[in-house]
Amino acid sequence: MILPMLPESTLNRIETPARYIGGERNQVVKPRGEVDLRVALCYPDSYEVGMSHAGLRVLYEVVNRRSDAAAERVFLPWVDAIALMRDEAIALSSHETGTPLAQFDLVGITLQHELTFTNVLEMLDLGGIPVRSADRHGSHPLVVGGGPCAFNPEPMADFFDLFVIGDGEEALDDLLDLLASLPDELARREGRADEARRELLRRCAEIEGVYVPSGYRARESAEGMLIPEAIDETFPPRVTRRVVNDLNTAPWPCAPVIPWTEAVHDRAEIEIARGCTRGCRFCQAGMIYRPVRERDLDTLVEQAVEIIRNTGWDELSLLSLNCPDYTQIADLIDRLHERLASERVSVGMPSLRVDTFSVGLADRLQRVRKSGLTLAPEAGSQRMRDIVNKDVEAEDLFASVRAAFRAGWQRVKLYFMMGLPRETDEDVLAIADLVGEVRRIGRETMTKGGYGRLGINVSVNAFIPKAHTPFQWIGMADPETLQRRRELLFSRLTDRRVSLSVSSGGSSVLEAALARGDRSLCPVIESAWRAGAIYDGWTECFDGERWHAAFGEHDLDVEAAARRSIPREAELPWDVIDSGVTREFLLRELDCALEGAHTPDCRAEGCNVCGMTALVADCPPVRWQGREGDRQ
Amino acid sequence: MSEQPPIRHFAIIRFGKTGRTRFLSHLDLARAVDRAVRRAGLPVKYSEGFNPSAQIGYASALPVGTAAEAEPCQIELTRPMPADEIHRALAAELPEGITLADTRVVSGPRRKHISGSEIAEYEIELDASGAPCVEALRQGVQELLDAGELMVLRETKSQTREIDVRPGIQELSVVEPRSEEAGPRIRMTLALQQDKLVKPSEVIEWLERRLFGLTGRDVRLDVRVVTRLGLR
Repeated sequence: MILPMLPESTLNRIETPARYIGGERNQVVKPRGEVDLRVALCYPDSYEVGMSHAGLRVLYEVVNRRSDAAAERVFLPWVDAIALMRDEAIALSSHETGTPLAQFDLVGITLQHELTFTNVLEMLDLGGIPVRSADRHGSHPLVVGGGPCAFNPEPMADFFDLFVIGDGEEALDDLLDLLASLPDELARREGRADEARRELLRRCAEIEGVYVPSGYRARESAEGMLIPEAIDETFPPRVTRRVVNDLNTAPWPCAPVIPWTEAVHDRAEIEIARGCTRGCRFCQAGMIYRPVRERDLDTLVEQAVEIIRNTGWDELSLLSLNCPDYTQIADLIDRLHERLASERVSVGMPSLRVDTFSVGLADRLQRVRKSGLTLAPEAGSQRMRDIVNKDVEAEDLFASVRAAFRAGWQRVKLYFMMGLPRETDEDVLAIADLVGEVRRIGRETMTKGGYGRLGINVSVNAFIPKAHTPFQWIGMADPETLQRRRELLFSRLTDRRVSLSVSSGGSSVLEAALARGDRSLCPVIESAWRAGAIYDGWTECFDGERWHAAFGEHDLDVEAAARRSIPREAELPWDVIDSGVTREFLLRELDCALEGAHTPDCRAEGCNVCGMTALVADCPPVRWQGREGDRQ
Repeated sequence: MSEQPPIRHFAIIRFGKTGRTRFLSHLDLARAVDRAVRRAGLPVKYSEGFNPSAQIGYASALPVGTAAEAEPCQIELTRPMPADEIHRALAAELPEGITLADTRVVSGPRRKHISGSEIAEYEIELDASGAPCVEALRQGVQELLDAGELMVLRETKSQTREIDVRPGIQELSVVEPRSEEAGPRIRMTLALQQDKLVKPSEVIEWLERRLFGLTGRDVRLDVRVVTRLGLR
């Protein structure tokens, strides 16, 4: 039976009802009863955000390829619709068939960001599933987490039955194979439901890359952190991340569901590479997605053409942590142009390196539409860029913007961080100096009219230490320091061509506290959610006081948790997850940071012994000579 | 010798927005049509400049929640193409719920072929539960037609003023329910142009007030679906 997600009578009482009507082009509907396994793929944020997520589309493809399984999409309704659903006792259900969340076999929820944690609880509860894993029994779905935040699963350990660590394509298939092979009496035994469920979780834990939190009990470490320890040999002491070795054999969705409303990223996407080994020391993605793996050029071109044919999108975005580093990037762009220019498809890249090569690429790309150019020098002073291992010098930035202004760009966006380890006020003021120089270059290079329209957007975010990075031992800067540096920047950057936005405290502090948290945060998250916390990543919904109170209720302090420095010898709550990168490597990188020593990219300069050779044969799979301008 | 204006080629379609797709905003709908046209491979013409856009125009934007049966839309093409070919290709690519009523083609110097509609026909289906009987509705409708005026409040940026929209109501009638479970329907032909514009909701609200006056009890006309049947 196919039901709507919300009854029609509710749709004229909520904002943007189109996001709840379902029936989008390219959705896959397998009626109930036609397949054995029903998988809900949940994105714990709004439809517009969730429909933009490539990972969800990939898993939708992985599941729907199987003849024995159906994947259906579930997003968190906006707050007005949630209120209405609670009033009228309407359970959260899927877009495809209106199946309530509680009736799926497997509920997969991606954790892209710490500030979506309360949304997870809201989705489970609204879907009729007990929020705590311990309260679920045989007939409840298996609640599975994944995504970058699963690399420190501890703050969410109580709410998930299991986590898949790393690339999900093969691991999800393995899980479904297991569920399909289980006899019914084990999977859904009515009588001794608890026992059956425990047995099911044990079997899941045998799959590589699967972490079952209930198989671990928390022990308090010397430093007062809760460290998960396996209760018996069924559960591995450490769970090793899954790595898809060959992207060419990995599935890619070439007929993705087209959102009805304008999604955050409303465009076709091809993943040209996964991983980045440039080695920025603050960057979690640069550590947990190693090594760099590329898709073949021919495969990519065929995928791009097919997606455009199946969707009618007029924009194609290349996905990678570092697009210009793709070994055949220039050829790829030319080939895509050749095949797609007549279809009026513009090709774009979300991330650019700060070098003239990248600007040259961007110029090639944006022949059709010239929007703003985004560059991320990350820090203002050379000293800070050395500390974070950002391989960019001031002169690279100047050469890049000079090239951009000459090529006709009038708007540039510059990304920086502040509150980095060992940072001083002078380092932050150096941001202002860089921006001043960029403006001067604009005046020098641009025509008078162009300079009149010059816009420099400067975005400065607070540094947040993340698990599995060389900076995981270092606390976030204190709020007073961040506030002072923020004011310094505002006092220096007063030119009308420069618009400055500096992230202000509140939600960054919470994100930092959650990112390096342990199991003691599970009840805190639940308390905050019960007190009404939801959509914490949205400024209009975030309420710092509510979180303050929730931490206080459990004798914890959100700021202290965010600022905490961890001794380097300490056991860490996320040690149970083996990202492939070793503690020795991270510590070595931390030491290099404090000395300002540069660590080059292993693709060009040889192995840095990060540990990935243990997971990937013949690592690194991609090698090259480096680019002009790379520091040797 | 004066220069001849270029010959332009158009597909003029009339599409419907049925079922749950009536909850699309005009912008969402336009995006969906845009993509369907691209998937269908129609030789659509694009504008010049930095942000080229497909030259697709609509007679009138529909509000969120209003269904439609035959909304005019013009698609400019780079070359002429037979109407039935366009119709087939496009119908196959429109998302479910967006229907294609008919397709014709024109070529000539004119740039606009669908503007200038002056009236719109609507059918409003009432919710069966609580709806007054067809007779009572007919009586209310007759009173409205007999009344000289229908005063409504209109807000502009600077002020709110009361205007008489009665001249904009051209036809108004009550239709029997489609089935036993369905509610009665009210058909209306209303002016669309700015100065005389009447909204279906204004007519419904007036009827509610009149029926209350007639019967002495609280009457609510719960609208199930508003469908714009067409533009003229």
